[in-house]
Amino acid sequence: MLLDGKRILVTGVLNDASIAFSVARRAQEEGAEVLLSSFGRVRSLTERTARRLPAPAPLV
Amino acid sequence: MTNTDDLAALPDRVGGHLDGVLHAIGFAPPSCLGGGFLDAPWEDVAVALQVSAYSLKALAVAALPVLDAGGSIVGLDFDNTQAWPVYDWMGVAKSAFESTARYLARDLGPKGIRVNLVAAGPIRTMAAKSIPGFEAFEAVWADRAPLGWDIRDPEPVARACVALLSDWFPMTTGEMLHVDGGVHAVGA
Repeated sequence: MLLDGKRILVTGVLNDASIAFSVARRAQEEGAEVLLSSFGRVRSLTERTARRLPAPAPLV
Repeated sequence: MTNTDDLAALPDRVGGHLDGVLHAIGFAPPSCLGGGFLDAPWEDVAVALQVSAYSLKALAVAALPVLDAGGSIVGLDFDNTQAWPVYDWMGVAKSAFESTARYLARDLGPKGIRVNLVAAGPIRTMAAKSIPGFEAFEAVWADRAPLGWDIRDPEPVARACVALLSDWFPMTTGEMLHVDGGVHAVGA
């Protein structure tokens, strides 16, 4: 897999239409551990969207 | 992303090393988009430039303490080497973003860190819905993309980002990779 063992920080995940959401999902499917950044008022939105990823992605 | 405390706390919050960072951040106040190019005040333009261009430098520097050699920073871009309808100051911000990526590539290269952009065709996201007249882009892509273009499918863009985050572009930095169905290559 392309990202085996890599840790990737993904910004900009708002909802599942976000391009960043597709990157996070693909990165997980390619073996990466994905962290999501979310600052300020969109944090709860990002939290909800993170649950739709194939693997857990902690918010930092 | 404009909060310096949040950025300074990033290495601690990450809790370990990073191999890659995706920058997918952009914002412009309403006056900066939709056709009021000649009227947008500097205060609004400054916000667009800070959030959409300077933030790439801010995020890169914030992540640097935990970003390993061999690391990769990838940013989501909309090619602004030409002027577009309605994109206005967001377009200017994207030009600044593209230039910022090149200067970051220059300064982070010696640390073994690559900085590249994926210049995507239009995708119908929350960010896109906030652009008045976004349909103008959809029409251009429907007319011109040699490979065709689906505004509802971000997967081709995501794959390119993953590839650039991987070890498969080890000598590529300061690059803007088009994932746009080929629109950038054709005149009409």
